[in-house]
Amino acid sequence: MLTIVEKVILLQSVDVFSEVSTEQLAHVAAIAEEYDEPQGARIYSEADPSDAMYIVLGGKVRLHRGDTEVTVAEVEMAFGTWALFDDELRVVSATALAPCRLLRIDKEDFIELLADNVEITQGVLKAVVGRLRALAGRVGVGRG
Amino acid sequence: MAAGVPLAATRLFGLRGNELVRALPVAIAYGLVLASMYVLKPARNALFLGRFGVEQLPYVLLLVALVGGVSAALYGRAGRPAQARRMVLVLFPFLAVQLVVFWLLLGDQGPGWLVYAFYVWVNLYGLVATSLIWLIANSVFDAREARRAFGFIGAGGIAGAIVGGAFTQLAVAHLGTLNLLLICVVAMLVAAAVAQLPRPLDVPATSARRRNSAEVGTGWAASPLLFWLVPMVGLAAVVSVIVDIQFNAVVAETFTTVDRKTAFFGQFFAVLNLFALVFQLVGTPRILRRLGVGNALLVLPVSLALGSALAFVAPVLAVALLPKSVDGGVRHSLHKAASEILYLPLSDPLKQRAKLFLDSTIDNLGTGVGAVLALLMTSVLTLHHRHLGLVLLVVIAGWVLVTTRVHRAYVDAFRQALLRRELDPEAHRVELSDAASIQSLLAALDSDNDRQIAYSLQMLASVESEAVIQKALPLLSHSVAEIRVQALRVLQAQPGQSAAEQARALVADEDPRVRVAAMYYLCTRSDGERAERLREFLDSGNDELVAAALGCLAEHWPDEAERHLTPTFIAELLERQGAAGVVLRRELARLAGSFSDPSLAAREQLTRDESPAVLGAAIEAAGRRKAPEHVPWLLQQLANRQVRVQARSALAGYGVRVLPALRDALTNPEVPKAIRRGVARVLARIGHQKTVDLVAALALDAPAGERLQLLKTLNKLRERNPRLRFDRGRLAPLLDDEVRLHARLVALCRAADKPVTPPARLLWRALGEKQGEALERAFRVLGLLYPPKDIYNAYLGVVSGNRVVKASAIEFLDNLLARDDQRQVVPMLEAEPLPAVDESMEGHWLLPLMRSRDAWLRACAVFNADPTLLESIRDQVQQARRDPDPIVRETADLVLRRGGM
Repeated sequence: MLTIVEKVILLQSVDVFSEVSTEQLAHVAAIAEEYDEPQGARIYSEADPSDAMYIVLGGKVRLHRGDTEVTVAEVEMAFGTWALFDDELRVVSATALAPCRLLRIDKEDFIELLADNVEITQGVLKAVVGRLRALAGRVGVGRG
Repeated sequence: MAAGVPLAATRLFGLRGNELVRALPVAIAYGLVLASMYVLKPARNALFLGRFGVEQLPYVLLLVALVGGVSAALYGRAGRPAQARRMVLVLFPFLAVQLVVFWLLLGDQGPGWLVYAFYVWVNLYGLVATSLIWLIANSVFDAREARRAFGFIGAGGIAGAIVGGAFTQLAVAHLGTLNLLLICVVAMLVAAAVAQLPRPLDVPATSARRRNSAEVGTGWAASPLLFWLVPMVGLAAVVSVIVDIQFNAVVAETFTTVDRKTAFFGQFFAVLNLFALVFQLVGTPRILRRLGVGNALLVLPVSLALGSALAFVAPVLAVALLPKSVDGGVRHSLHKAASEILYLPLSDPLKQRAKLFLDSTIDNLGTGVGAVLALLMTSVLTLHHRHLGLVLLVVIAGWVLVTTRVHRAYVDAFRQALLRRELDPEAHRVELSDAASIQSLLAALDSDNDRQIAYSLQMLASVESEAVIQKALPLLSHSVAEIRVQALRVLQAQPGQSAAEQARALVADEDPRVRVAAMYYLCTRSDGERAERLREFLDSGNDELVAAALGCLAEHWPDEAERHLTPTFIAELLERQGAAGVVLRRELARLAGSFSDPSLAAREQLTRDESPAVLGAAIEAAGRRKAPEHVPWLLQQLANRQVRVQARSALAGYGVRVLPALRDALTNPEVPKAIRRGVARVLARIGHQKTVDLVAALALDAPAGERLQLLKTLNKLRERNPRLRFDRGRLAPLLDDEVRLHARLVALCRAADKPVTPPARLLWRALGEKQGEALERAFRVLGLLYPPKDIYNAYLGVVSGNRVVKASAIEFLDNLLARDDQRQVVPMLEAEPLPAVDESMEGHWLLPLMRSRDAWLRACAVFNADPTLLESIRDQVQQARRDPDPIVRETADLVLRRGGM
C-alpha cells in the first residue's frame, strides 16, 4: 500500500492538480484508493457514466474507441481525469493490457473534498483556467 | 588577484549574480566618455579664457543654452525611434569625425568664432554622450538592480574622469593641447564599441507596446513625475551655471597667466574627481540604501546651499571653491545615480524621450537662465561674483521644494504602474428621481429580458401611479415566478384593490413565494379584518395555503405569530410528513425566533430537523432572536455545509456579545477545523474595535494555517470598516514572525541537496509553497498597516513571475514602507539571507525540517531521510513514529521499513 506522501508524488504530476499545493494534495491522496485489475479487464467502457479518474501504478492501460486505439497509459500516467468535473458519459473505453495496479479517485468523494477544501478548489480552477488560456492562445483568442 | 577585483566590486556595491558582467561594459563606456570629457574640458577652458577672458563666459554659456536647446529638439526627433545602443553606434563616430575637424582647424591662428563653437560643442558632446550611456544603463537593469549597479557605473565614470584629468596634466606638455583631441577620438570610438556589449532586459513585447503607445502620447501631460522633473532638472542647471561662473571668476582673479590657469584646472579636476570617486565608492551606495532616493536627491542642493553660504560669509580661495567642489563631487556620483533611478517607473520609449528632453533641452534652458541671471547680476547690477551666492540660495530653496514633490510623484508613478494590472469594476445603479426615469423603467417592463423586468419592478415598488398598475397587472401571469412576486409587490403599493381578483388565483400558485405575496395582498387589501383572513387560510386544511399563511406571518407580522399558532396546532404541523411537511416545518422554523417561550418543544425539534431548508430557517430565526442559549448550537452548524452560510449570518448578528464564545471556539484545539474556519469568517462580519483586538491577539499564537484565516479576517474587517484601528504594536511581531519564517525556509532551500529524486523534488516544492504562504501572510499584515490596495498591487507584482514587474513592486515598497518595515520586508523579497537564521542551521540540513512546527514539512523531510546514513537522522525518524500527525507517523514507518529497521 502506498503512503499518503507516495500518493502525493504521483498526484502532483496530474495536470489538473498542478496548481494544488502538495499539502492539499495529501487530502486528495487520502481519498485515492489502490486496487488491482487482471489483464484484459475492462476498467470502464465507452458511454459508461464518468465516475472516477485513475493513475497507473503498474502495468499498462489501453484507451480505445471500439477497436481504434487512442493512447496507452503507462506507469504514473493518469487517465479519465475529466470524469472528476464532467457528467458526460465516457468517450473511450479503458482496458488493462497487462495485470495492472491502479490508483482510483472517486468523483463523489472528490466533489465532497472540494466542498470542504476551498484551497483545492482554487488550485484546480487555476489549472483549468491555465489550460483554457493556453488553448485560447493557440487559437488566437485575446486574453480576457 | 584577478578574481579579487570582481569580488571587491561585488561586495562594495552589493552587486549580485551576473550584475557585474552586465554593469562592467557600461561602466567602461561611461569611464571613456568622462575621460574624454576631462581631456576636452581643460582644453576648452584654457582656449576660451586665454582668448576671451572670464567676462565673456556668460555669453558663451548663453550660446551653449541656445544651441543646446535647438540641437536637443533635432536630436530627440531624429533619435526617437532608435534604440540607445544603436544611437551610440551611429552618433559617437559622427562626433569623432567632428572632433577631427576641430583638430584640423583650431590653433593659435584659428578664427575666434571657432573657439566659441568648440566650447559649445564640448558641452553638447558631454550632455548627449552621458545621456545615451545612462539610457543604455536603464535598459540593462531593472529597478532593484539599478540601485546597486548604477553606483558601480557612476564609479567607472568618475575613474575615467580622474584618468582624463591626470592624463591631460601629464600629456599636455608632450603632445600639446590640440593633439589631445585625437586621443579623445579614440576614446569615443572604443566607448561606442563597448556600449554594444550588455544585453537589454527582456520586456514582454506585446504589453510594452500596448502600454507604451498610449503612454508616449499622453505621458508628458499625464505624468506628475515628468511634470516635476522639469523644474528639478532646470533649477539644478541654473545652480550649476552660477557655481561654474563663480568658480571661473575666482580662478581668473587668482591666476593671471593661461598656463597657470590650465595647470590649476587640471589639478583641481583631478583632485575633485578623486574625491568624487571615493564618495562614489563609499558614499553613494550607502546613502542610496540608507536614505532612499528622495533624501539622496536632497544631498546636493543642501550641501551646495551650505557651501554657498560659507563662501559668501568667508570669501577666501579655499572656501570660495567649496560650492564647485561640492557640485563636481556630488553631481556626477550620488546625484546622478539617484536621478537615474527616478526614470525607472516610466516605460522605455517615454523614458528615452524624457531623458533626452530633460538632459538636453531643460538642462540647456537652465544653463541659459543661469547665464542671464549671472549677466544681470554682474553686468547690469554690477555686483561682484561673490553676491551670486545669494541668488544661489534662493534658487536652491526652490530646488529643494521641487525635489520633495518629485519624490512623491516617483512613488505615485510606481503605484500607478502597479495599479494598471488591476481592473476596478464599478457598479452603477439607476436613481429613481424623476418622471423620465419612471418612464424608462415602465418601458423596460415590455422588454424580453426577464432580469430587466424584475429589476424595473423592484425599482418601481414605491411609485404610486395608474400607469404602473396598468403595466404590472399583465405581469401577474408572467411565466417567471420572480416577476409575478415583484408585480404583486408593486401593486401592493398602489391604492385600491386593482389586483384582488388575480391575487385570489395566485394564492394557489405553484411557487410558494408567489403564494405568500398574494396572501399578503389579500390580507391587507380585501374587506374584513386581517386576522380573520389569515385565520381562514391557517384553518383551510390545505398544506400549501397553511404554509403560505405561515410565510406571510413570518415575513410581515412575526409578532402576531403566538396569537395565531397554538401549541396543539404547531404539534400537528410538526407531524406532517413528505414534501409538504418540509415546507410547513420550514415556515414554522422561520417563526420560531418569535416565540417568547424558551422551552417551546417545537423550537428544539426544529433545530434537529433533517431538512436543510428547515434547519436553515431555524438558524435564521435564532439569529433574529439572538438568545445566548442558541450560540453553541449555531457554532456547531458552522461545520454543516448545507446551512453554514445562515449560521455565519446568525452568529454575526449577535455582534460583540458573541465574541467570548467565538474566542473560546478558536482557542480550543478540540473544536473541529471546519468550525474554527467558520468562526474566522463570522468575526470578519463583526466590525468592531474589540473584534480587531481579539483577532490580532489570537493571530500571534495561531499556527500558520489558522493565522492565514485570521489575517484574512483582519483584512476584511479593515476593508469593510475603514475607521477601525490596527495597532502597530500588535501587528509588528506578526510581520517579524513571517519574515523570519520566510528567511528560515530560504536558508533551508539553500542548505538542501539539489533536488534530483522525486522525494527531494516534493520536499523542494513544499518548501517553496511554504515560502509563498509566509509571503502572503506578511503582505496581509502589511495590508493592515498601509493602504491595502497599494499592498495588494505590490503583492501581485512580487508574485507575478515577471522580473521587471517584481523589481518595480519592490522599489515601490521600498519607498512606501516605514524604515523598520522596509528593513525587514525588502531583504525578504530579494531573498537575502538573515545571518541569525543561517547560524542556527547546524547539523544535517534535514534535521531542522524533521523538527519543524509544520506537519507537512515534517512528513516530506522524513520521507527524504535515510536512517542508515546518520545516527541523528535515525533517531529523528524513530521519534517521528510517535508524531501527533498520522501522515508523519505513516511516513516514518515506511522509511524505517525501507532501511530494514
